Parts: sequence; structure tokens; C-alpha cells
Amino acid sequence: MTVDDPTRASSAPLLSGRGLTRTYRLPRPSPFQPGAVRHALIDADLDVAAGESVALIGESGSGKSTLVKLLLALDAPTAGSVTFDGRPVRPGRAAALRWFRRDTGVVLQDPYSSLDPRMRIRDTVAEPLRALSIDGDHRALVDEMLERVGLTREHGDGYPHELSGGQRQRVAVARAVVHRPRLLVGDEPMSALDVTVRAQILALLRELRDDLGLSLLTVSHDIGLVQHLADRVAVLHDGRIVEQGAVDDVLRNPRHDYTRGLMASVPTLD
Amino acid sequence: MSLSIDDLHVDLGGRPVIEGVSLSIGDGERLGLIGESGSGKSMTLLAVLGLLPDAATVRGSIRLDDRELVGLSDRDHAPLRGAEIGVVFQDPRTSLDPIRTIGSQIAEPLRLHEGIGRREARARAIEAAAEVGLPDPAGIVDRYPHQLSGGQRQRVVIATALIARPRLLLADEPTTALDVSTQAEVLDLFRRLVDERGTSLLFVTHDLAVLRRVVDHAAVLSAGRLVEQGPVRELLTRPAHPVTRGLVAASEATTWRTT
Repeated sequence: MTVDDPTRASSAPLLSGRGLTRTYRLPRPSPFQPGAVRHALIDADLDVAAGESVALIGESGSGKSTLVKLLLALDAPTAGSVTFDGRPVRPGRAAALRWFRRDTGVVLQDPYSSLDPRMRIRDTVAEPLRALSIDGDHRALVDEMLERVGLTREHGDGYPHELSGGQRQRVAVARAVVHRPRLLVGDEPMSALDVTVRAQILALLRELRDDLGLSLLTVSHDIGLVQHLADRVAVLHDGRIVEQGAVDDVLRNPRHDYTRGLMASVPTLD
Repeated sequence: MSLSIDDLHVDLGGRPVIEGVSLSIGDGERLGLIGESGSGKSMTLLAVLGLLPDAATVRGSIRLDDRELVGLSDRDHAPLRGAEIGVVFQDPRTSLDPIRTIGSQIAEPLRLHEGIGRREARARAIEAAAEVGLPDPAGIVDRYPHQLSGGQRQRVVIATALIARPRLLLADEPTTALDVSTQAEVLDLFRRLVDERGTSLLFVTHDLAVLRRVVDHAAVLSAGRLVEQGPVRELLTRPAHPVTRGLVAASEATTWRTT
């Protein structure tokens, strides 16, 4: 279901998924029986406009991660298509996707496991610059980005274990945007963090979005984060997008039973 | 059972991690303990359990009813864990043994402390599984942790913590690793079981929205010191200490606002 949404920009979206479907064939129970098919994602349409922040919510197994993988060309859809800036995006050889990788950055959930403990912070942050063959003075680009995310260039000489959890997540953010992508994708970017650090990283993401004109696509089960970070939200349940629209419309007046149940259990302070 | 901690100091390898914490929980009372990572919340819990690292030195007093726990040998401390003090840690993936059945894990405190046999252990495990709302209790006790969802696993951990009817329950971020809806269910379960049994509860979290669902009073820790305590409603609306104000502001900036 797609909900008409007046807040949505009328211009062509930056990232667009149409009819995205992903099925997996389960192992056959015996050589004489056909294997069952599992539908991880069914006919999902999702757009992210330039400068827009979109959140995906839904419980584990709802299809959020599958949708993100398809949108990032980390997996091929069974049906449907993805475009970025009007160009088709399909999984394939790294060289053929380099233009797309240069325009996207990813932050994962856990700052402890997403940083290589043996690598200096500076080299970790510089990784995308090397991998994507970005021109320019890598050291200067890294230093600038470290400062922009609230660290210092001196942090660049250290190792992950010397940093706090919040600083590590800042490093992960710096690495995700050092090559100046147009879209930043976060998979539960704050669920492993303390509340004060969470508030700081949230503020940082909003600041980066404004300063760099980034579009954001965030996967989260944290409704508070969605409210404070996203313009629009898509709710996934059992492999389908059951509703999407402006955050306040969808979450304050949920139409689908799943969203209603979810909103009834959200922890609040009042 | 009452817990009273008086002027507790813990040093780890010469570095102070808890400096003069005093707090008390009366019989059947619930207290929240909040603070950031490194504030000393978990260390306080470990001190009560007698599970601090060997490098730790402890001064002050931790009394469980009339019994002094500081200075107790591990041999004397161990029988209290599981029997009189139940524990629920954050991540059910790490607190359950992947190669043992659910039933044998739920019943372990009974087998350890009451020396009951296999058959009775199984029956009591089924009963406990039903009490925490696990589906098909008689079947689930023969399954393994990986066959359960995250919320079910945390229910198993709660069943294990409560099966020996401890009179004090310690919980350390018990719902942080769970989905929103599962989190709400598990918190409600927690509150209900503790209420029904009159268990005293020390509940550690950094999430004020979670805290206010389970306890009415809380203490705020920062850098190993207790900086403020009082009714949760007061702490949320009139935080006095800068640390509490910071926690409340951060919570407001990240928690769902209904208005």
C-alpha cells in the first residue's frame, strides 16, 4: 500500500525501489517433494528524495534488512528494480557499481565489531577513499571529517580500544561519509549506545544531514529515533510495507494493526 | 528481603570504580539504578552478587536482611546466587548455554540448591515456563536456545532467575536487546511477577522510559558516586543534579513524544 503524502517532494527521487520482491527457496524436505518458498519481501515501493530522511521500522524478520540489502545492491531482487538518480542499480562487478558506492555510505549497529581493532582510526576512516579510488589528499579529507564528527585529528593516530563507545560510533559515521556520499544508510545505528551518547549521535546525524545535504535511510526499531530523525517512515510487517508516509501521520494515526500494536507499546516519558 | 548498601567502595586494580555508594531496598520494594556506562551500576550489582573480578577490593557494607555480604568467601556467597538472589542480565544470547535444553537451564537453580531429581526438575521447569508465558511449556523445555525468539529467550532467563523463589531480584538492562513490543511485554511480565511474589527488585538501566515502567523510585549514579535519588516522577520533572538533568535531556531528545 502506498499512501499519498503531500510532504513528499515532487521531483524525481534520489533512491527509488519499485516492486521489490525477494524469495528464498527452502531446502526440499525430501527428493520427491518440492522445496517451499519463503517470501522475505513482497512488492515493496520505497523512495528517498534528495535531502530527505526516511526510516524503516518493523520487527526482526519483517523484511527491513532484506529491503536495505536490495536498495544497496548487496543482494539481487527476485522481482523489481532499484534506481539511484535515475540510473539502474544492480548487484554486479565492483567496478560497475563504483559510481553508486561513491554516492552511498553505511553505518552499522555496533561500533565495537564494525571497526578493525588492529587498524589506526585514520586508516579505518580512509578506507572508502582508497577502495573507491577517490582523488585528493586523503589525510586532509580524513582530518577534516574527524573534526566534523566531533573528534580531533589526534584521535586519528589511535586505535578503537582507546575510544569510548560514543567516539567509536563517531568514527563509524566519519568513515561512512568521508567520501561525501549523497545517501547515508544506518542499520540500527544507535541501539548499542547509552542514552546520552544516543542523543549526541542523533544530533550529529542531523547536523551532517543539514551541512552536507545528505539523504538518510535509517533502519530501526527505535520509535523515538524515528520521530527525532526522519521525515517519512515506512512500516514493514511480514515482508510487506503495510503503510508509509510522514512520521507524524503514520505514527500518531496508525492504520495498520501492526503499527497500532507497536505504538501502544512504545516507552514514553510522560 | 531487604538489601542495604552502606558506604560501598570498590577499587579495581587501585582505581576507584565505586566511591561511597549507600542505598537501601526494603522488603518487597523496587529501586531503579540509572547512569551512563562506566557509572558503576553494573559494578554495584556484581558486588551484591559477589562476582567482582579478583583484582577488586571492597570496603563498606552490603547487608541482605541481617547478613553481611562484604568479606564473604565465594564458598559462602555462591549458595545465595540463584536461591536468595535471582539475576537477569542484558543479553539472553550470552546468558543461556547453547547446548543445553531450556528445561535443564530453567531448573538448574533448583538442582543446585534443593538437590531435586531429574523428573521433578522437569516438572518444575514446565510450571515455571508456563508462569512466564512461554508457549507450549511441556514442549519448549526440551528445545534449545537457538530455536527460540529473543523475547522467548529472555522469558527463559526470567524463569530461571525466579524458579527458586529468590526474595531479591537483580536486573541489568534486561530488555535492551529486545524489539519494542517484546520489550513492553517482558517489562510487564517482570513487574507482574515481582508484584505477585513480593520480591525486592534492583533494576539497572540507562533508559528512563523503561525505568518508569518498572519502578517508582530510582537512584542516579555517576562516576561511582550516587548523585541523586527519589521518586522517578520527581527525577524526570525536577532533576536536581546536573548528571540527572543531562540524562533527562538526552532521554527527551531520543524518546517518542506523545505530544
